[in-house]
Amino acid sequence: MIVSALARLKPAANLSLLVEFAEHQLLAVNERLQALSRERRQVIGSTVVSLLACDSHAAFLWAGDSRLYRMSMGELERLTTDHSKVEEYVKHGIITREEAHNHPDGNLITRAVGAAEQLFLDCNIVELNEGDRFLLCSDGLDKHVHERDIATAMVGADLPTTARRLIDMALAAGATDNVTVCLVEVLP
Amino acid sequence: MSTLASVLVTNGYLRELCAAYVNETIDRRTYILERRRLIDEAVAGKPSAPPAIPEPFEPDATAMMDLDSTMQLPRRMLAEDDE
Repeated sequence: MIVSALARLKPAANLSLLVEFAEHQLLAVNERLQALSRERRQVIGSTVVSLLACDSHAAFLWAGDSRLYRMSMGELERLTTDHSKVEEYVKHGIITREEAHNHPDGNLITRAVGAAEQLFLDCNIVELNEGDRFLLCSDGLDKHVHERDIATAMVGADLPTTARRLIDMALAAGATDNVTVCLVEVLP
Repeated sequence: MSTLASVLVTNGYLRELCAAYVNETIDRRTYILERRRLIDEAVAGKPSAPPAIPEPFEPDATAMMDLDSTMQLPRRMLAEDDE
């Protein structure tokens, strides 16, 4: 439902409008999932991360623990902050970033599309540079593959091969949840 | 891995704005208008002013009650209580 709603986005005159259109689509999905949840008497939700490019910049919207990484000049940077219990523990100094990996509360998220009547999407913006690679992924990848290994896998191969490599790494590490990987490269 | 600060172009103002909206410090209309401004300025390469987020309310120190004086009761009332 989320993917088809975002697929209906049309090119916008500028980035801020594109963000507004995307947010509108995701809020509509949230309403539909809420109605479905009430009907079935169970929570139906999904995390989301989206990258919206327009000319020299891209905005990204997310809710939950799906992540966006950027590989630039050989360096991997995580651009999103998880909406999760574990992230809150790290923020409040209860655990370290290293302890967050494989924490027993790792599955507890604080935001998701469909999880609550009001959906709050986080948003930020990044400048695009030629050759940059972006990785959008579900937690099925980063819970099983360390970021330094993601960084290694992100260089030296074309996008389909890199995507296959990342998924294989997660599966080999015992991933049982869905492993979703989407790669984007900024072309000249 | 490095931190994200180097690549983001809004000095963290957008995240600050999102947080203010989540915490209900600003309403939806303000959120959308300020987000639009920050994104448009970032894309245009203009330096942005921080988002318009009201400061959390704190009572003015000079307006606080003087507890000593508020507890003074007239002598007559004190005498009635004794009876």
